[in-house]
Amino acid sequence: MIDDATFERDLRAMLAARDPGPAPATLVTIVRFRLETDRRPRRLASVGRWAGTAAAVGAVAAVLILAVVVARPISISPGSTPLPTPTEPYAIQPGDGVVTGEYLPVAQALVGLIVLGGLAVTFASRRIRSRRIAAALGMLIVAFIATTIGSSNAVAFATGVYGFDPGINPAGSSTGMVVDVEGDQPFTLYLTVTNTSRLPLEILGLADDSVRDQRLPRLVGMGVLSDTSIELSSAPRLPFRPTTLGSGESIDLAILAMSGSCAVHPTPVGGSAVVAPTVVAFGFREVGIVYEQLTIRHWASVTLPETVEIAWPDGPCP
Amino acid sequence: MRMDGPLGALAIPIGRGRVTAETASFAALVEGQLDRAFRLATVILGSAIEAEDAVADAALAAWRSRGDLRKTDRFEAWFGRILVNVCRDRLRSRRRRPVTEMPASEIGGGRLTEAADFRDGVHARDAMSRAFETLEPDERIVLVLRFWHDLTVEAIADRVGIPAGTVKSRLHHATARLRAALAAMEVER
Repeated sequence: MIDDATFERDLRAMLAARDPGPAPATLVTIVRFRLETDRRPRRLASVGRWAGTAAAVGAVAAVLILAVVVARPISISPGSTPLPTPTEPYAIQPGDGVVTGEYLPVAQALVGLIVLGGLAVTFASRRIRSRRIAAALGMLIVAFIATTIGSSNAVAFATGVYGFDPGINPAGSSTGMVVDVEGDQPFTLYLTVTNTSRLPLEILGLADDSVRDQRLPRLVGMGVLSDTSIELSSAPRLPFRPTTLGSGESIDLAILAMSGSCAVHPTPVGGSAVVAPTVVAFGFREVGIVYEQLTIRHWASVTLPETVEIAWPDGPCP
Repeated sequence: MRMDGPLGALAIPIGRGRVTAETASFAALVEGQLDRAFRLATVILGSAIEAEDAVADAALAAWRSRGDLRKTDRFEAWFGRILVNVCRDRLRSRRRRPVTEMPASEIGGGRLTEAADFRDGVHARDAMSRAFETLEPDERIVLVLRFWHDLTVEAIADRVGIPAGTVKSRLHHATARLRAALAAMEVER
């Protein structure tokens, strides 16, 4: 074991031996050349650095927010937007509560591109490995969000009301409920939809179904049930307006539907309403609801607890 | 075009570049530090060739962030900090790309020749140099700044950009690790 003085003397001697003396003349030339050929626009580089840092901070913040939100439990309760006070009886009309028109998320796409560009600049310009890895992860997260954010389905039937009116439940039939209508007649579908995601969303209305073949059943308008504690067919309806649903919150909807020109009345046989042998059941089991979450508009297909069936001729439809 | 000052000889454009007054003024500041920077980088990195690259990189990094320099009289410390950071990055990347170890006696050969009379000293320096190569980049840097550059703890803290307490801690750990490495070499012999 060497003493402190010897150790320091040897260390200083070793370091002094590594000292090469004055810089070679070539170094001056090299440095001059590097400085004079540096063409990188300083302001642009500065903007790039700031953008990259901002994008990285934004991506980390988004991940943290999502982590906190995902950890939050969901409890189902009524929607947070108060229902309007009923003033006079309201009947749902075709077109009520229907979302029409094109939707292009231009602003969101721009923000996504800016964030992605900032992260790409960070990835390309940083020499520290950890920051390059962080930027690469950030780009992957942004790409993942971009590819999945429009396809998430945060609205579903979880609990509440479901049914249609008028309807009959034919005895001896395995097809379940059948809508008691004929061709081109209206009927009403009752449905509670719940925000099953961990983030709030805004129900904007019913997906536009008017483009569907007129021979088929269609959903044409939407209102809100103000009281589900009474018989649904006599429960007052309210005009639909965009409603905010927190995580786990729900809203009771009354949806006006048309049976389609080919629908036929289910024929009563032997005292019970059953589908006659010359008739088949045409059914649908999804309702399109439009909602907005994190500024992105979504088209959700809410799956019904049971298929809504309409009697249909067992043959060609005129 | 004729430029005054240290870059006067570079009045003729080189490559795609063009000499501006700002470039010339900045280059003059850098050139004033080149010898010191080159020597410091070589002592830290243990390679004159790599030290040249490190100094050139540091000069370019300083040029690109020259807006951060508030006072010209702080240029030496500011540039020194950039150089130390560049050397640290190089040492770290070197750990990821192992290179063939060069015997310490081949580093700074001229000076070692002058010290040829002190055979024991050369042996001790060789062992010390090999032990020094085993240190972490941050440990190397504080040892060089303290025992070669003869900076105070406070000056090292300013140069490296860390608290003085951290400098003391790093010096303590670095010397302990250096001693341990030397002891291990003694055992191997």
